[in-house]
Amino acid sequence: MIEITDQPIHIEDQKAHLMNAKAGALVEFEGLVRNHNEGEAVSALEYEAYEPLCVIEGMKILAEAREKYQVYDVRCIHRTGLLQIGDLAVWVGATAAHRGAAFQACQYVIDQLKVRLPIWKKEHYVDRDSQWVNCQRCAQHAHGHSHGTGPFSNAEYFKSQRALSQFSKEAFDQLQGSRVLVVGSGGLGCPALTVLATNGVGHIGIADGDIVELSNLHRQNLFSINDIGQNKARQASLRLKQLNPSVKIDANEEYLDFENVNRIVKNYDLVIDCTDNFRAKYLVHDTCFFQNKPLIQASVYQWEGSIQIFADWSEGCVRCQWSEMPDLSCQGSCQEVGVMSTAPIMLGTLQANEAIKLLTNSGSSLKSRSLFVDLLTNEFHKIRRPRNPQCPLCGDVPRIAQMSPDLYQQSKEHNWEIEISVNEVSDLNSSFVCMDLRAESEIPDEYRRRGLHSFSLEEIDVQIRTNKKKIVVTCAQGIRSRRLVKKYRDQGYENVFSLKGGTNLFSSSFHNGNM
Amino acid sequence: MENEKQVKVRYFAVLREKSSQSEEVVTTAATTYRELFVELQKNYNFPLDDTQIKVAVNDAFSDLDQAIQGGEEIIFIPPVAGG
Ligand SMILES: [Zn+2]
Repeated sequence: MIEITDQPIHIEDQKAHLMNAKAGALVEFEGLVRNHNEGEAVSALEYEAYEPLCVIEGMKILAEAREKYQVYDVRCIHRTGLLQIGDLAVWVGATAAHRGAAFQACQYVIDQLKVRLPIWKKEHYVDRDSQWVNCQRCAQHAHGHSHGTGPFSNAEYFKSQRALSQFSKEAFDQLQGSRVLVVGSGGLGCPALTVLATNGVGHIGIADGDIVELSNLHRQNLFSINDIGQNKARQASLRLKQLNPSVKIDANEEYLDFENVNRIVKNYDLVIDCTDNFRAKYLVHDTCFFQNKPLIQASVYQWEGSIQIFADWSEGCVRCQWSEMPDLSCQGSCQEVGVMSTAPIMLGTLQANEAIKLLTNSGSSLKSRSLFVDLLTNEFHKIRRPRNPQCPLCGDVPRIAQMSPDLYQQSKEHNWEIEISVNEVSDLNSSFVCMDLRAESEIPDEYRRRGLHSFSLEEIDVQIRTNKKKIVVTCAQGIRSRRLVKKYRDQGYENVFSLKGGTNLFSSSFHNGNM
Repeated sequence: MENEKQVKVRYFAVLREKSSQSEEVVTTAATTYRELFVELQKNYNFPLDDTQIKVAVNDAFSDLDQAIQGGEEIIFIPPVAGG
């Protein structure tokens, strides 16, 4: 991971991303602003970077370091803007099993960064006017040029698209000014994102808390073998920046939930739902309804898929036909029922195509209809979705006047619930492990006698990642533990729960399970 | 029989999977789409009941309790969320 930032670098945060229980060595390099250069006194330094290319080139350098040396991870962060003497300008860190590899990787990365990154440095001298120095990309030219452009040209990039007679300059400018949120960067999300990013949508948001797995690669074509285990939103954003360095991307590395959905959706003009479960689909749908945001929704099943658009919410919504969220047992994930990669690639592409049409007012959209596609038989069916006056959301007398968390609850066996009640814990018999976040001295004696003990965050981390049993995290009130569990759920760990209400609600029947 | 009607039925997703076909012509004595679905559900062992699916008739979502006319194209649609 490489970051370019105009904010002060926090080394502890950087280290936190690197830390790994397997690592026997961590080597860090700190590049500081010094007070002299080639005999002249320097008062301050200004860095300017062409960020898209920095990210691409930086990713290459990091990948090379991983390839050359036996490291677990290596990352770096570079400052831009005005820095004072002594400020941290660049930081590189590498973890490895042994120190040799960590030293070598760290040195390799900083050496390569210095010569390959399109970063320019302006020195402010004590005795005379400031001057640009150390400009690698354009050392042969005198410094009369601007530093923002690099070899990338929007006009050249979009040459073929701009030749389209049905696509005016105004339409293109509209796209450049648009902000689109793609929820879920999996089977539907990857092709949708690719089309958006390479066709001129200026600002894209991605929300996904999932990580890349090997079984995703056959259809999720923004990812490669190197991305396995990494967050999908983050890896997708890096790949998209390679495809089109001029696009602005926000990677929200979390699933949308009741708490964050309004805040995130608010920032965009249009939402594309590429999720794979009813809970997320209804959550995003209802949020878009209440925020009056256009929504493009799709689902796939084996060789089939359907897509529907809600641009004008007065013409009906999903709840007009499916008033309640269907039971999860109706669903079956792509892994369970199987999916042919062509179905999500085609439907995700259609979603992005419809988004571009909506944003630029081109063609005719699918509004008020669902399109059902069967790639086994080549049957395409447009089915009219009449508005239902009895609809609980958009009907004449709506039952759902506002969103509430219970509208998006799923049955318990699917582990959507973060919290577990005392009674449910008792039902688990001994097939769980209870771990308390507090210091041993803070845990009341009676619970300690019954087997409740203090665990460090590191110990809890190891158990969540390795123990097959259910992990129940506790604290006094269940607030701290809920926050911690939420973090792991966002990373895709479903086997961990927070005790609802904390141990203050424990019944006397509590006994800890065996590890 | 006199009160039997012929309709074309299309299947999507799990319904197609269970019936092993994308479409068929059905001759039925059922009077509503709901009755027809219940009949087909028994035949093919569909894992969904009539409260979990929707019906589209001649390419528009319709009500399961509408009367079968005869000659129409009926699509039974299960909920799908894959992505
Ligand atoms: Zn509605």
